[in-house]
Amino acid sequence: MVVNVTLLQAQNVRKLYGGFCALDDVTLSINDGEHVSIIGPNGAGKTTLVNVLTGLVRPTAGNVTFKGHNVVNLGAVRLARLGMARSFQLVNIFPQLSVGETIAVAAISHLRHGERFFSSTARNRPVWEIVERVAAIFGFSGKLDQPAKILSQGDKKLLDVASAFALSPEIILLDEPTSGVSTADKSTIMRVLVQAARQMGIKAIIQIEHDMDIVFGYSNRIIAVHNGRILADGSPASIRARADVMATIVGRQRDHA
Amino acid sequence: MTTSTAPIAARTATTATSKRALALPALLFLLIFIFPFVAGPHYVILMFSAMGYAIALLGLNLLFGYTGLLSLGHAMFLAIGAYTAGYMTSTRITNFELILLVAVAIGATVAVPIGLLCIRYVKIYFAMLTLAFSMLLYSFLFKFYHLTGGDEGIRIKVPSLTAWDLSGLDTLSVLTGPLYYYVFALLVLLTALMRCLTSSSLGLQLRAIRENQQKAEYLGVNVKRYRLVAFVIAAVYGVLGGVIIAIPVGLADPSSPIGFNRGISSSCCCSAATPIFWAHYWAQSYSFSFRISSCLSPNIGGSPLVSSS
Repeated sequence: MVVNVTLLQAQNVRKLYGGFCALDDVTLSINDGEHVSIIGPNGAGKTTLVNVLTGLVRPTAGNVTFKGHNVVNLGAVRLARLGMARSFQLVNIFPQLSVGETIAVAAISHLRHGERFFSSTARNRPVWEIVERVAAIFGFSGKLDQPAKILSQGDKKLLDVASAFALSPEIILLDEPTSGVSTADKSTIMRVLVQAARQMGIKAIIQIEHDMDIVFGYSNRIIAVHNGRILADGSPASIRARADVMATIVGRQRDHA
Repeated sequence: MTTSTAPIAARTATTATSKRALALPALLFLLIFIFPFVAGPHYVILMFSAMGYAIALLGLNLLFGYTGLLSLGHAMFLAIGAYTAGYMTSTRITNFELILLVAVAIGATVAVPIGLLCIRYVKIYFAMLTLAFSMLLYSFLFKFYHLTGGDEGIRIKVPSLTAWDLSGLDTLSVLTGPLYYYVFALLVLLTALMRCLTSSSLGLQLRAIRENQQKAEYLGVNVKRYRLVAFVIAAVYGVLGGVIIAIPVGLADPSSPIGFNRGISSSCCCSAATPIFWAHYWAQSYSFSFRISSCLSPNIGGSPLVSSS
């Protein structure tokens, strides 16, 4: 029997923004080997949930633990060291750094080479091996010297994700990795992500996603969020069987075979 | 992995451009080296200010150009250097190396607590806070008469060198000869050290912090720590610059935290230090004025202090 190792756990998490309740009594645990899609209508609390899980937002009540450590007190830097990475909904890059340098920042942090103040980064072979490997996966090999600010919107988004992958994390949280990308490119990006996760040895992916074809096509677990509460949590098949979830999230009942 | 040759070729190209970028500083260093042979003593002594400001600006560049933190209080560290030189030479400790070491130690000791406070802020808030500490030091130097000489300041005597017996020489020949080349060597050494630091993982991480603090943190860059490191290194460079500028002047007085600030801004624009600073800066290829405007303009109630150019 396969033992499911719990990586990330949220217990009775509640988040209030003033009087508005963005998350209400959310309890979930993410295990090794899961590709989780978080779905829900606009304003349901999806991004707040990911922000709470990654320590960016402090929950009003409840606690979040990653590999037994309390996320709230850990801070982004130690979370990255422990093996958690995330990308952001809006493009979040280093505009004046080149593509290669952006990925190198993550590679340096992964290799713990941050304190090497007297040796040239350009000549740091292990760092550039990671950069080249990640760049090859994400199709940036020919663009390593381009400044990130001149990339297309889709490539900027992908660079944000690629730099998160370069940390070689155990768990990665992606806030709408395919938003702002044409429908035709979405499945390409998803194939790249899944392949990258396999090659980098990433144990779990959590992804906010609006495109139901991608949700049902790629994830093996779906969490439906509505009004700050978890409406449903289960396998794609079990979610598809829930008429109320399909009506709330998808807006109409239809077969997503 | 069909594409592994492309990035290697790209990086070789980068190395070639960095070699070309080194040509200008090398030429400038050569000019400074031959300067005493072709110019009169008055101009040679002026070069102390140029070299001192160059060193101080290398530090400021790390803090402002690389980390994106504009310090308006950098001159306070130059003043600390000048007063250390004054205090030590007036108590008959004239050894130049010892003065530099003590100045660095004092500068770093002062920079750590001030830095810890200031790096919690960015943009205009950081700039104002550093300016406040600079003004605080000015008041201290002005009011603590018995310690600092008040408005009269402290005299700085010409220092001695460990490796070079200067006993037979008069002040002018010491300044235009041995001490000039000593300071020149220091400038070359500190420029090389700064280049080493900026091309290391420190330089890359500082630029990542400048570009996007949140993203840097989620990629595991310890933002606060590296900001403090940059602040302290900048302070040490400032202190060394201060010692060098003050020696030919022969006086450390309370106008120095302000006067040096004027010096720093004017050196950014027009002094002889500028080519060295700009050559270094140009090698990193982005615009100083852009940084000023992007550092000050956003998020201060819609009234940019410095208009973008």
